[in-house]
Amino acid sequence: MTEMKTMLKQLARDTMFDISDDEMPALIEEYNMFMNHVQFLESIDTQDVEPLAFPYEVETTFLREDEVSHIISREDALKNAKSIQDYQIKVPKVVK
Amino acid sequence: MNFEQIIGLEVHCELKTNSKMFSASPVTFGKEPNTMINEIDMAMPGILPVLNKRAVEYAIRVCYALHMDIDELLRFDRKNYYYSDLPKGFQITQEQFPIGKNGYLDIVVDGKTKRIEIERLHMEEDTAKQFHYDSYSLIDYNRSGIPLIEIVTKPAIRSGAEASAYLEKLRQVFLYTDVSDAKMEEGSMRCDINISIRPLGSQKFGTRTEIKNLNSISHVQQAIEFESLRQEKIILDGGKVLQETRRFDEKRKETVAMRIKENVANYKYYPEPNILPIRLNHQWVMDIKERLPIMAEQREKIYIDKYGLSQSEAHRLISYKELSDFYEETVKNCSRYKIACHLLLGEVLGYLNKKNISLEETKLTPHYLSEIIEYIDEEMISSKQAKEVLECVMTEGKKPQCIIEEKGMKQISDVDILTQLIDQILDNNEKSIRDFSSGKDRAIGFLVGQVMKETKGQANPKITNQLLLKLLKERVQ
Amino acid sequence: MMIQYSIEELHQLLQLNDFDSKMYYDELFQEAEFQQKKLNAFVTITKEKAYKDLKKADFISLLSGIPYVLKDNYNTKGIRTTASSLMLEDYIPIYNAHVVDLLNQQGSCLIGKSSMDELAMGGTNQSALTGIVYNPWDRTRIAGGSSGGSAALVASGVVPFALGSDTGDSIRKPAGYCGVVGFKPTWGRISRYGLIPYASSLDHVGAFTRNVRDMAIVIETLAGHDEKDMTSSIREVPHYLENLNDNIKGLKIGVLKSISDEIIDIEVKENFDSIICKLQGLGAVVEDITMPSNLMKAILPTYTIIANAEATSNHACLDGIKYGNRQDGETIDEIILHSRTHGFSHYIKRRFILGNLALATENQERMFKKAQKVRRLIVEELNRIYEDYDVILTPNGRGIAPKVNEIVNNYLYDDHVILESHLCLANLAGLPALSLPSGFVDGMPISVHLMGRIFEEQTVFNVAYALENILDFKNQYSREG
Ligand SMILES: [Mg+2]
Ligand SMILES: [Zn+2]
Repeated sequence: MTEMKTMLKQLARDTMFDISDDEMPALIEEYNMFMNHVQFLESIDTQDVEPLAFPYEVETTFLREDEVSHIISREDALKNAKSIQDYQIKVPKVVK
Repeated sequence: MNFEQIIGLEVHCELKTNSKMFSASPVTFGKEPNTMINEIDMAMPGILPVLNKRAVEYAIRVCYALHMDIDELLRFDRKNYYYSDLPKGFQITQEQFPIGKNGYLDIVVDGKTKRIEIERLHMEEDTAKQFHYDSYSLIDYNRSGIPLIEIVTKPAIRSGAEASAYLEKLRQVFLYTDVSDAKMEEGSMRCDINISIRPLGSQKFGTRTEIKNLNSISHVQQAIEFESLRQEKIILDGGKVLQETRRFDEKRKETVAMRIKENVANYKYYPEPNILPIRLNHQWVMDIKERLPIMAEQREKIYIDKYGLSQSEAHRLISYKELSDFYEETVKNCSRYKIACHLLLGEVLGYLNKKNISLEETKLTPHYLSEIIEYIDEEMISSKQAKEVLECVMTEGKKPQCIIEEKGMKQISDVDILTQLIDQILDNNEKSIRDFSSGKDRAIGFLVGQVMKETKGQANPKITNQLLLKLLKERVQ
Repeated sequence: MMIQYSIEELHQLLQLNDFDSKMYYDELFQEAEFQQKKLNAFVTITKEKAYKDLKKADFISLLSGIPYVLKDNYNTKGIRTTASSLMLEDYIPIYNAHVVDLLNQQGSCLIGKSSMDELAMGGTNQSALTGIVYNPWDRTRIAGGSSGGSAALVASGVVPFALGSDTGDSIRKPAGYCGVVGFKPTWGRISRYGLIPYASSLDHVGAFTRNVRDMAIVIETLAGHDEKDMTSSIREVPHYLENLNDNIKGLKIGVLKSISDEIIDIEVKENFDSIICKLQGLGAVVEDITMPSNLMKAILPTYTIIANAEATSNHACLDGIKYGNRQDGETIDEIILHSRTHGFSHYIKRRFILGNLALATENQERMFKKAQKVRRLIVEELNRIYEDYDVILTPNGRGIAPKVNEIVNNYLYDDHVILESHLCLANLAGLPALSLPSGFVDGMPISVHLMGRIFEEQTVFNVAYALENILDFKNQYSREG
């Protein structure tokens, strides 16, 4: 049980958020349901079946011409950012 | 124990398209931060990518130049990781199906040719640029989404010298296919190194380290030299090389381990659901091959065989793509191939280096250069004057003829005029004639100087010398 | 004066000289505020903008001057767009979704942004930042989700049409619960540019209306190639309204028994059977069809794995750095971590965690790729059916909208509820699919579900039109629930 908790907490971390202990029971329940789903799919024979990444097999030939047609103002670009300095987004120093 | 270095290089190259890989904002360098972007480059919620046609064309050009197999069905994948310079939280790249596969590049090291096999070339997008200050960093999205191609060799490189020759050659490919300015110092060409060592003769690969983001060819060579010695020491001390990512400390000339999150290698690649597979028009792909610019090697051969340049002249000339392009234009209507080459590699290059500018920034045109060559050829100006004219053209952009006239540079090559003048000077300098007859050669120098003084340097030196000697001899006989 | 007109009715009124459009909008906003108190369906009411748009409207085209509502996951320039998530609580887009531009060009008047499940991930509207949306027919019941607000606002008569988005059933399910027409066309038929995504390979732009003709009008306006969406089709868009035809003689309709056999509620069953009789009465050839039961059971697992995996990646951009609800932190990682921990509800976090699990390199073959392979098997099975049938008919889910207090969680369903989950077949295969009100049970509306071949929207419209014409539910709405 604690092992699963640790695993799920790490998985949350990998997804860049934390899970509180309160949230854990529901997560475990849903995780188990999810793993049932995974198990069920394992019972289906997919040998020689290619994955389908789109709803149907489809190709396009459309490519964009290399033209500059859309620039936004710097004000618009930064309008929704919470921390700005010198027209750039400010963050704590990136540790290299 | 002798060790062998096993090196693979991953090179990223920014393409000089007008617009970004997946958005219609401009590709620029050094512009005001966050002025060259749109919502796509900032990954605003709801945006979608649309692939740039020219970026594909450029990738294909390089594929051809590297003798690669081209996949005419383009497919893209997502590389997922969280990082502040990656606005979408994923990079669109081609993991599973790179546009180019199985290529090579021949390099020459110590006079020997070696074929470096290239595994793949794929298209992707650049990240935003971060500027680091003491206590904070600032993010500029202008670079976000600039088209990149990444070229990955097989672990086929065996020394720093080979690595450096490969990079030089690859850089030349980028320049001659005209897809990038490939400036390592500005980051439009970047290199990662994968390196391991093994006892000579062993077939097994050792544990490799990755050195990220080298920004000059000499750093690549230095990093390889340092890193292979470091690994050697570890092994000889009975230790184990760790598989890790390192960076090159330019001041200390050392590689240093980077702090990397444990799971960063788990990129969770999967097919990009917002880009359908793209079927390239076969004829279009073939046409790109037809229109492929002449590569450096072919030019070098033409320069030697057709223009009579020496091997080293030809080699030097093609190593400056800009000069070589200029040369091509110049010799279209000027058959003085050697002089053109000498002026470009001598005076012009010297001037550019002195001013630290590019040829494009000067006002010299191929037409002006051939005009100057014509004047030299007809002995209207001396080579010393030619240098002055060239400089003048480069800075002021005036027509050479005007400069020559303004400066009163036209050479006096008329034998009658010069004979009359020299006779006059000899009449007034009997001492010099005596000196000459008693074998003092410097008398000639003095007399030439007198001629130059009288003509304000416009006397043709060659003819003046010849005439002076002839007239002197007549007088002492 | 009443305001609950259809698009076509209102269009005719707007063209009359003595019709006071300003007054119409005054009443509309009165009604909107009245319904907001009852239904909690709006996130934002855009009154000022609507009046401004109205002034510009020339009422010439069918949608000119027509009021509408957008689900709050369509980017609207200058208008707060939250996707009902705390993360985007104060996000103000700097650009319009493609379909928003199209509606602006038509002169349609946006009157508000509607509530939804957070980031469109859910089926109850329970996870919305502004809380649950109530059903106009009975306020003790939910409107459904994730496009709950849009469904409720069309069903209560406030607007004649609203846009939703549909990744698994997010238009069709709330449409069914609220007794209105819900439709999503073929994947690729309408540009998704500017729609805050859930799962890109399953996401669809779609709409709610109170009759099939109106739906044809709206979809015809939105459909077509958009150079900003590489997945949008270059196929020509037919004139859905002009070609609308209720003569469906000889059309082959397959009744997917694997689904309809699961109906438990007797009244729902009777209603469904009566629809079959009516279709036969209209001259359609109606026959039973089945799909292998293991594939039917695989629908939900396949869907959840793909949807959650794509969602996790699609929402990696929500890090609090460039926009969104930024929280403090000593390092960038901490900022991202804190912002995401704070900005997402626990429902969403669970989905993201599972999505991440399925995509992880060591699991991908067993989970994500496996689901994509089964997706192919399911799609191929459907295609086999479409070799012989023009439309597949199923009940639009289990039955009537649940009571608010009946929904205790928003968990993934267990794998046996095929009846409830089968609507996402249309998303897995990208098929045009429509839910049509078919009757009432306990005073609550129920619907049937029609799925056509890809790019055959017209066939689906025609069947729905024919049915609608002989049923009594055209233009229905409920103000007093
Ligand atoms: Mg790489
Ligand atoms: Zn790369």
